[in-house]
Formats: sequence, structure tokens, C-alpha cells
Amino acid sequence: MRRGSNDWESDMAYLTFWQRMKLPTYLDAREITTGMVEFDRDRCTLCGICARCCPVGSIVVPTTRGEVPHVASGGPDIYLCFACGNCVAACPHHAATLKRRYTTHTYYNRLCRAPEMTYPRRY
Amino acid sequence: MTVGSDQGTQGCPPLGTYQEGMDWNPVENVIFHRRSIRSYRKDPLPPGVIRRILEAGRFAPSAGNSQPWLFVVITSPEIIAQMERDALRVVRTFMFLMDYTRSWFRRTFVVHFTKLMTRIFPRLLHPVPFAAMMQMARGEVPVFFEAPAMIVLLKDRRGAADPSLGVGIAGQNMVIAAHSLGVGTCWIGFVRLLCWSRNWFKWKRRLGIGYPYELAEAIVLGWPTERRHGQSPREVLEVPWLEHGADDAPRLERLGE
Ligand SMILES: Cc1cc2nc3c(=O)[nH]c(=O)nc-3n(C[C@H](O)[C@H](O)[C@H](O)COP(=O)(O)O)c2cc1C
Ligand code: SF4
Ligand code: SF4
Repeated sequence: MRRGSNDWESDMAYLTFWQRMKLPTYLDAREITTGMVEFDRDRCTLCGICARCCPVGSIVVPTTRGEVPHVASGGPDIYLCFACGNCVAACPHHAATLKRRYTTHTYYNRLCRAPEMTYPRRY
Repeated sequence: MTVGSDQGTQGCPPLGTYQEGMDWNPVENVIFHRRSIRSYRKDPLPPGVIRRILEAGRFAPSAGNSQPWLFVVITSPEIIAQMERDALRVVRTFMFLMDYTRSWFRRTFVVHFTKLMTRIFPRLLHPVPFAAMMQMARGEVPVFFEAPAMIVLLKDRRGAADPSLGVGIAGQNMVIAAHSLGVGTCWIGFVRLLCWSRNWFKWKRRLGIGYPYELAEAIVLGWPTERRHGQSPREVLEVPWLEHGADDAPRLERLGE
């Protein structure tokens, strides 16, 4: 059965032999695309709920007004976020938005069948 | 003939008739709004609620109805704190040996050792649990989230077919039941860190692990600090439908798009 009828699939859904051999690290953004969350300055009240539900505890909530929370970073374009969407779901003021999904480019399975993840749909 | 306790009642009638695009029914609502909860109120869960949740696990389906599970309930804050301490100690040791992100030296040299270990334990050292362990070692995130209760799931190796699957199904039954009662839960795969703890033999004895029972997973439960039931997105799923002749190519449908 051939899958890969469009760009993301043929590019992403299956790994070549070398991709299956190469272990990704958190040092190189070419090997791993981490999640990315954006916080809305106008909506965020710095309540800290998002930080308390992050599975990797990586949201840093500032104490001074006017700033916004940010996700801990491990290097250029690397965030300690795996795009679970928990903070987005939890924020009572809809201030957090998931900007990017987590995907490893080598070795491990990829979540990459569409440019964006989607919410439950009422079929 | 023996009769079930539902004898004389309707059993479980459908929760509605399917119409395209209709609203979620109560069961679907729980499924789609369930989130892993990671901050709990301190007050204990009433034992009745825990029993009610366990009952949902007892009635999970399993291969050959072999029911290859055992549930251990822990509500002692002291024991949960000890488990936290032991698991954290293991994480700190692991990360002392394997966290390759901390310094120039580690980025250059330790990374190779980490990669070797990742070849040996590819799923345990998957980048996501690895990142979680880095954060745990830095004290940014706890292992058991200071929950007031925990259900440890043991797997009976003598079960039919694939006992791990049965444990997963029983666990998710309990999680769904819990959320329908307003109880928050989170699966804790990291409970298996205890296997590397120097107190492992103590935990084996405490939890009743030993042939035929293996430590499989744990679920922590408690009242959530705040209502947290937003939805989160998931990957679009590509589903092949085989609906025509035996030799026809399947139709790929993108679910959720
Ligand atoms: C078998 C299993 C083990 C898990 N182990 C952990 C864990 O150790 N720590 C944790 O914070 N979350 C754990 N989770 C929760 C997942 O991170 C979570 O389900 C996933 O991010 C999706 O988020 P949601 O449950 O809020 O939808 C586990 C989930 C499963 C199914
Ligand atoms: S939960 Fe929302 S409002 Fe609260 S700190 Fe996080 S982003 Fe800001
Ligand atoms: S999406 Fe998940 S991992 Fe990423 S910052 Fe939010 S809660 Fe943390």
C-alpha cells in the first residue's frame, strides 16, 4: 500500500534507512522539531495554571506584569516542549496557542501527516 | 439461571441515535475532554470513589478474559513521598551520566554514551521522556505530581496473548471513569524508574511484585486544583478503508482534517 500522496506524507510519514539509524538529540534543530507555544500578552493574567500542567515543567511564568510566560529553551530553535497541548487546553483566558508540533526527523516515529494537528471533529 | 444485577432494568440503552455532526454524548464528552492532570489538591480521595474507579478496571475486556492485572492502591502520603524520593534519585543518577545538554564537555563527549544507551533502551530514552527526566533532575517537575492517591498496575505474565494490552485497557477504563466523576488522573510510566532504585527490593515487597506479577504502570489520582478540561489537538490520522473488491486499492481517508 503506497501512502504519501502529498508533500508532508511523502516527506515525513516514513523514515529512510539512514533516518532510522540516526538517533536525534536536543542539540540540533535539524534532527528534532520541538513544540512551540506562544502566549498572548493582552490575555495572559500570569495565573500560572499553564506552568502547573506542563508534563516537562518547562513553562516559566514571570512575576512582573507586562511580561509573558515562555517555554524553556535548550538551544537555537529548541524548546523543551513536546506539544502536548495541555497548557493550551488549560489556560482559562485562551492566552496560549500551540505554534508548532513536536516531531523527530530521524529514528523515532513522526507525527507529520498534516501541517497542523486538529481538534476532535464531530463526524 | 443466574441473573445479573441489571436484571429487570434496561441495561444500558444507547445514549442517543447517531446523526451526522451531532453533539458529543456524555461518554464522548469525557473522552474528548479528559486531560492528564498534573496538579492536585491536598485533600484525600474518599475510599468509595477509589473503589468505584477500580471497579471500572475490573470490568475491562482482556484476551481470553484472563484479566492479567493486579491493582495496588496507595493513599499513604508517606509512601508516595518515598516513591517520589527514590524515583528522583534514580533520575538524578541517570542524568548525571546521560544529560548531554548541560555543558560543552557533555555536548561533545557524553552525547556518545547517551546515544549508546539510547540504542540499548530506545523507547525509555525516547526524546520526550528524556526531556522530562532532564527537567526532573533539575527539580522543575515532580514524578508523581504530589497526588493524594495512586493505583499501581501490575501485569500478570500468565495472561493470554499480550497481558500489557490488558493492563492498558483496564487502566484507561479507570481513567475514563475517574474523569467522569471529576477526579483528575495522570498515567505515570516513570514509576518504572523504581526498578533501578537501590530500594527496589523494598518496593517489590511493598507492592507485591514478583512472579507472576510485573510492575507495568501507575496512575495517580486526586481532585484537580482547578477545572481543566479544555481539548487538545492530535495528529490527523490516515485511515485506509478497504471497502470494494478484494484487489482494489484502499481508499485513504484523513481522519480529523
Ligand atoms: C502509558 C502512559 C504513561 C505515561 N507516563 C507519564 C508520566 O510518567 N508522566 C507524565 O507526566 N505523563 C505521563 N503520561 C501522560 C502523557 O504525557 C499524556 O497522556 C499525553 O501527553 C497526552 O496528554 P493528555 O493526556 O492531557 O491528553 C503517560 C501516558 C501514558 C498513556
Ligand atoms: S494559564 Fe494562561 S493566563 Fe495563566 S499564566 Fe498561563 S498563559 Fe497566562
Ligand atoms: S504544549 Fe505541553 S509540553 Fe509544551 S509547553 Fe504546553 S504543556 Fe508544556
